[in-house]
Formats: sequence, C-alpha cells, structure tokens
Amino acid sequence: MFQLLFKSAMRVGSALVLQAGLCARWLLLLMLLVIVMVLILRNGLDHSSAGVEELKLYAQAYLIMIGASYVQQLNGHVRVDVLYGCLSQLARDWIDLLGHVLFALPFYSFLLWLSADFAYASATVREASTNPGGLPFLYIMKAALPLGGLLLIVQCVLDIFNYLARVSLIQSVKS
Amino acid sequence: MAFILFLAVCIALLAGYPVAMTLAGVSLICAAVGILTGHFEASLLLGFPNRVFDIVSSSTLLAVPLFILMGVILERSRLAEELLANMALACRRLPMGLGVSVVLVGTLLAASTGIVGATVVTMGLMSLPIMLKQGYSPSLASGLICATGTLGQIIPPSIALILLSDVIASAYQQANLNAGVFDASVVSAGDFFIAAIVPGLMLVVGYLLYLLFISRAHKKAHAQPMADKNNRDASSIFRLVQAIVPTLMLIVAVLGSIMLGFATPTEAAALGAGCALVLSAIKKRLSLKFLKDSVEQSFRMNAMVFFILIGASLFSLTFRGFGGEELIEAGLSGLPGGAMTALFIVMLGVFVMGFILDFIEITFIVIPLVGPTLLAMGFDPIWLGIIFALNLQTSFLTPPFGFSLFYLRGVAPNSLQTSEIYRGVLPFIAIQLLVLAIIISFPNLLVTTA
Repeated sequence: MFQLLFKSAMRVGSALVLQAGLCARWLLLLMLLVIVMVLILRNGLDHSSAGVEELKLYAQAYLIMIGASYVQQLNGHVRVDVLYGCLSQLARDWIDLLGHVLFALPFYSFLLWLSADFAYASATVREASTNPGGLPFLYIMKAALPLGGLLLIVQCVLDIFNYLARVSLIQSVKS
Repeated sequence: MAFILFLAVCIALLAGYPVAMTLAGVSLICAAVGILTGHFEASLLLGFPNRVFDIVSSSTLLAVPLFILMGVILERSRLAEELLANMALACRRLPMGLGVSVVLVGTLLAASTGIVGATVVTMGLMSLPIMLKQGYSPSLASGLICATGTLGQIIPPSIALILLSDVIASAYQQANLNAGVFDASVVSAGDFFIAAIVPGLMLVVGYLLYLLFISRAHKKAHAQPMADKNNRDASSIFRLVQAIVPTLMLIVAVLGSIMLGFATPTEAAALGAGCALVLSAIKKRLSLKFLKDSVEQSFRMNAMVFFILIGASLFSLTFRGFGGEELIEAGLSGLPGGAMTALFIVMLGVFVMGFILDFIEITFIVIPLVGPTLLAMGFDPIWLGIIFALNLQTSFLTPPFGFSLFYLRGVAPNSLQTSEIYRGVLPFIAIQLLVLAIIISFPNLLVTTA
C-alpha cells in the first residue's frame, strides 16, 4: 500500500516537472514575438509600449526557473567531466547522490525559503513595475523564483530516490 | 576562509557534479560554517533572491536565449552545409582552397550565429573527410576546423561577449563604488560587439596566413587543387552567391541594427532569430516539428547557462562575505611591477584554468572576483573584456578539455587519432595568443563608440 502510494507520488512529481518544462519552452517564441513587435512599433510607428515590452522579462524569468528543473530531470546540467568521464557508473551515481544531498537539496531549499518571502512580500503590496507605463504585476514575475525552487526540490527528491536505488541502498522504486 | 571556499569549490567541481549546484552548495556549506564560527554575516545571504531576480529579469542577458535560438534554427536549416559546399566549389582552384573555404565559411557562421559546437560539428562532418582525402595532414585539418569553430566566440554577435559584458559591467560598477566614484557611464554589450570586430578579423587573417605559409612550405603535400571535372565556373559562383546572400543579409540585419543604433543587442538577437525562421521557411524546412525541436534545444541551453550564473552569484556573494575580495585586491596590488604584472598573472591564470574549465565557468567564477580590482587599477573595461574574451577563446582549444576538441572528436573518423587533434590545435592556440599579445600592446586597435 505504502509502496504503491510512493510510486504514484514519484510518477506525479516527475510528470509535473516534465509538463511544466514542455509548456514553459514555448515562452521563448512568445518572447521573440514580443520583442520583434516592440521593435517594429518603435521604429516604424514611433510608438513605445513599456508594458508589452516587459512581457519578455516575465517570459525569461519563467523560462529559466522552470527550465532548471526540466534540465535536471534530463540530467543535462553542465559538469566538469575531467575525472567524472573516466569513472565507473557506480562511482558516478555515488557522486551524484552525495552532490544532491549535500549541495543541491540545501541550495534548492534555501532558494525556495528565501524567495518565497521575497515573492510574498512583493505580492502583499501588489508590487508594480517602476517603469513609466510598466505592468502592475511585478509580483507575478517574482513568483517564478519560489515556483522554480519548488520544482527543483521535487526533481531533486525524485533523483535522490533513484540514485539510492542505483547504488543499492534501497530497493528499486521504478516499476 | 575565502581561500578554503575557493579550494573546496575547485575540488568539488573536479569530482564532476554539475557546476551550478556545486557552486551554490559548497558556498552554502561554507557560509553555514562561517556563521557558526562567527566569520560570516548571515544577513548577507538575504540578498540572494534579489540577485537571482536581477539575473532572470536582466534585459541585456535576455539576448542570450534569443541568440541561442537563432543559432539553433540556422544550424537546423543546414545553412552551414550549403555555404561550405558552394564555397569549396568556388575556391577549388586556390592552393589550400578547401582550407581557405573552411575559414571563410567559419567566419560567416561566426558573424551570424556563433555557437561553437554547431560550427565544429558541421565542418568536421563535411570537410574533414575531404581534406584528409586531398592530402591535408590530419593534424592541420583538425586544428583548422577546431580553431575556425571558436571564431563564433569572439566575432559578434557572440553569446560569450554578452555574458562577459554583463560581468564586466557589474565589476566596473563595483570598482567605481569601492573608489567612491559615481560614474554614470556604463559599458554595454553593444560596445563589446563593436570592439570585438577588429580582433576577430585579425584572427581570421592569422589563420589564413598560417594556411598560406603551410602551403608554401609543403608544396607537394597540400597544394593540390581539387580535380577539376566541370568547368562551369559561372554557375558555381552563382550558386555561391545564392548561398551567401541570405547569410550576409542576416549579418547585416543583426550587426547593422546594433551599430546604427536602432536596436539593442537583445532586439537585434530577436530580429536575427525571426530572420532565421523566415530563412528556414524559404528553404522549406520550417515545420511544427522543426519549430518544436529548435525551441526545445534552445530552452535547455538557456536554462543551463543561466542556472550556472545563479549558482555562481551565490558563490561570489559568499566569497565577498568572507572578505575574499580584499584578499584578491591585496594579492594583486602588492605585486612588483604594478598593474601590468597583476594583469599578466590574471591572464596566465585564466589561460591555465582554460585547460580544465570552460569559458562560462571562468566568466562567472573568476572574472567577478578579479574584475573590480583590475578595473580599479585603471584598465579600460571594454579593452579588459576583449582581452578576457580572446584569452578565454583558447580554453576551447586547450587539451585535454576544450569544447572544440570534444565536438570534433565526436564526429571525426576513428582513424584520426586524438593526439593528432591535440597537435593540430597548437599552432592555432599560438595564433590566438599572438593576437591577444597584439591587442594588449596596442589597445588603440579596438574600435570604440566613445
């Protein structure tokens, strides 16, 4: 019973990170569209629109913060593989396990903890852009930080269980 | 303690755990130890969310995902292949014609996209086998391809220059702040782009001269022009023009709009990505799958780069908290020979680190630490940024861990020995260092807007 619950929780978490990434990647095209439009409006029609222009920053904030956990799921973060490349699979799994527990999890928790306050403080005052004509939703941009932190923690915990299974400290949880 | 932090980061990085998390994690552990032993002010860490937010909402850095997207689209629309095939055809009568065309196409690609890996892979797949067949020595052929691929790093528009400009700009601000100077002038990515044109072209000329020199020296071995089967020169030139015009238009659109001042580098990047999309549509390669794959690849690269930046920002926050900056300043300014010695030592350090680390890591970890001190010594920020860029370019080529070498190894036939690739890049590293020395000696060679 517990195992079943555990497995489905893992599956949900993994799907969450994946789907968030698959949706967020299209923000890149939105960003492209917004910038080109603003450029044409400014140079062609002499019309500047600070509000629309700020959309690109919203897109980038979510692209990065959601992308980070997505890339981690794909195990795609950049490494210095001078030595790592020569190691056995087991040794690599150990390094990743220790790294996740010692470095990544504290870092992500730290990020979530501080940025949740950071975004919450912004949301309570309905913080708006300081640019003239800017969008009044700065807190939504700031909310990308805790969201990213949360997704990173989810992915990190999933990875830790997988690595634990791979170095045979626990039984495999993958069906 | 600052020194221990730096050392711990180096060791942990070498273990091979991802850079971003290593930087952040080790910093946090050291900070925790520092807080417990009373060597670290805990409230400093509270500034972290603001740092992250500045990174993800920076208008300048926004050019990075767009240039990545532009590069990925161009790579997928097989522009490089067409250029190379037609250029080789047009240059086939020249001695070392294929080598020359590799350099020329590499330059064009560098000025339009600037993703090192893509250029090396394309060249490696397309021209390496033919060069070997024509009797180029394996080391020359592989060295040439690797070196040409790195041009994208320095020739604008370049992602490396954008990242560098951001790091240098904040180091400059820091230096001014430390000195109590409130200087409103800022250095922008556009300034770096313009300043990088001359050194970039110097490298191209350097590579071409080296080819010429080799072809003179070993006339028999290399200088056989391709067997000339069809004599229709007119049509081959026409096809070359057909392949080159879109690329040139792209270069003009991106660089031109920056230089004429009606677009910021970020907007130019968007414009470039848009043009690349149109180009792929003209070539009838645009499809939903094409779009999805391009977006996916760029999305990942973008997140990777920025995540390292976020990790590095926590590292430099902590490093500063431990008083590491004063340590570096004391170390660098107490040297006999003054500023030039300090510069030389930093440059040497960056070059040596390039053997193991990649330009992104050096840019984010090392330059924020030494930058403010060097700038306080009175060096020009743009000049300093460019010589860092030139120096970092060697990190792509220096064995055993240069990106260029990896990419070429990945696509080169097994008969090509890795030691031949290593030997082949040596003269090109020498050329890069020569250009670096020239720019250091003659700063006036850089074109600046100011």
